[in-house]
Amino acid sequence: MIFSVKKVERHWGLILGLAVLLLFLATLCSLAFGAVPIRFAQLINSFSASSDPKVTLIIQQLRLPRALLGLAVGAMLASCGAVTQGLFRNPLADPSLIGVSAGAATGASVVIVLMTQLHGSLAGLSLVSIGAFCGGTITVVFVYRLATSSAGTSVSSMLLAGIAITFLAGAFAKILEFIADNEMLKRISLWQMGGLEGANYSQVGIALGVAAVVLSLLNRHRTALNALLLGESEARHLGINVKRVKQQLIVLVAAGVGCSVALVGTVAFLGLIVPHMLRILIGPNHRYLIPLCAIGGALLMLLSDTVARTVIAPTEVPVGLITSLLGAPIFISLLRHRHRYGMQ
Amino acid sequence: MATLEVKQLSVQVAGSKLLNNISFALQPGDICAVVGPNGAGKSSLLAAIVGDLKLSGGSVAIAGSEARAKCLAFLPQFSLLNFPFTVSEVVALGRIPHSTGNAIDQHISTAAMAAMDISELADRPYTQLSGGEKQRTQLARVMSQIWRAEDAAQRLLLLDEPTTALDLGHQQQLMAALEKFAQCGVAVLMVVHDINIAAKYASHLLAIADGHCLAQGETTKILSEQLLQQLFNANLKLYIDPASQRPSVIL
Repeated sequence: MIFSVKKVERHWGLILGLAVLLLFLATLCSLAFGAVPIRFAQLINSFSASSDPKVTLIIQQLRLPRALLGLAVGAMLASCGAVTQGLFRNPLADPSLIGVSAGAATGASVVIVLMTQLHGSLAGLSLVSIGAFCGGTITVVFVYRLATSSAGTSVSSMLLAGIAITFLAGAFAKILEFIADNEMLKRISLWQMGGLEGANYSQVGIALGVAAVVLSLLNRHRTALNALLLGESEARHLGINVKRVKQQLIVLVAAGVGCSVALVGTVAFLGLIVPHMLRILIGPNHRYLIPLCAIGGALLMLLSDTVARTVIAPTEVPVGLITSLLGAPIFISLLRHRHRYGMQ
Repeated sequence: MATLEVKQLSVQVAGSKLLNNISFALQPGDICAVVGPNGAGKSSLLAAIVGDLKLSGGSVAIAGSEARAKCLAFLPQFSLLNFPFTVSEVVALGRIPHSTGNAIDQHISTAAMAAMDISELADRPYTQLSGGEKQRTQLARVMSQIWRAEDAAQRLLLLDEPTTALDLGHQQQLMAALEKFAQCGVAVLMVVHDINIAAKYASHLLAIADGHCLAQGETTKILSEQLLQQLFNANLKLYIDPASQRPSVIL
């Protein structure tokens, strides 16, 4: 750990405040940067009546919903990542391990390939998003069922069942791609890369609502998660209702990640890198880890999206591509130096 | 009233009987050592008492009206923790069942760390410790869970091979801490392999072989060369230390 536990504990309010301030500044930057550069003065002015209508349109209809969607999704992905790693007692576990991402991708492919005739939306969500959410939820339920026996739910069998189901869903998605035409293939591959373009306020509303519920409930389980790191039986002897906590956490992670994937596609590595970096900075205590992961994930998502929009403007790069390009090298370097930070 | 009362306990897993008809009781202040050969069912007995293993017969009664976690602490044989919590954070986890407030919890953690001689390691990541240091950290954690007499009317400490990873000095220190606990009314049940530790420190012995109880009672009364022969199928000599009048065993 770079900062000692005592320091974090003593200055927790300050750290949290600084993190929120940083996030606010990053939001302002993401509103200002883009294909059409906007000065900060114009930016602040755009919320008053006397502003340039073009700037107002860009800020209020394009960049603001996009930034808010990115915030919500980033926060959910990173904190769900931290919780998954705690639950599986493995610092390298990712929510996709329990099959959410693969199931969602398959659900999206089903809609794109087999339901071409159907167009429409429900409360601002495209059919593809709905398909993805259903796919993700069905896989998690299936994986959970597979790992549950009369003796309870085994975390390690859930991990293995998740891998098996991920392959199964992947094979099914490949079959769909096989029968798809060129236009469908392009849509599938763009969806899989992930992106925030086309964000609208109803999506923002859903994402912020789900994020608020998921994050506050995850945060309530912080002590149980700390105890779970000792082992399930030890947590039980510390008075934690392990079975109930496990069920609730899996439902919350499935809802958080499922909702994110449905709205913006798969965004790789966010759930892995942000918790990992923060554990190196402040240690594995979930009391500090969950709130900071939420802020850190939102921050990284915003920055990645800003880069994605500006790097070859006016063309946009899918944000999932940016997080992967940023994430993979950071992750490999973390892996190589993990002993330095007390990781095994 | 007995802190722990086990009556005709039997455990069956996948058709094989691990424990058969075991009965004993622990009073406040007892230190009871469970001894026996490898695979006798010692760890299974502890697991059955804490509820990790399902009983196929008999009953386990633990005194006290509080929540179980407030009066019973259990140290398993192996630790799974592989996240870099600091030593003081691990010890503080032992206070989760109690809502006694930060100041008291911190005071207890500090005292438990001092008792296990790990105060110097307080800020070190758990993952970087040696086997013995990890063991002492976990011991301090379970001790802090039942540290105060105010938190529970009856307290019970279950330890599965607490001395295996410890050097001689720290074994002595642990036993002194356990004796102090016992003097304050905690009942201690521990699985030990070192028969000399059992002979010197345990007030009671529970000798198990092949899932059956061979003998139980006060250590000085039941520990004999014949029992050791029966338990371990080995020729061991038993001496009485003239100073303490406690038996000791020579390999």
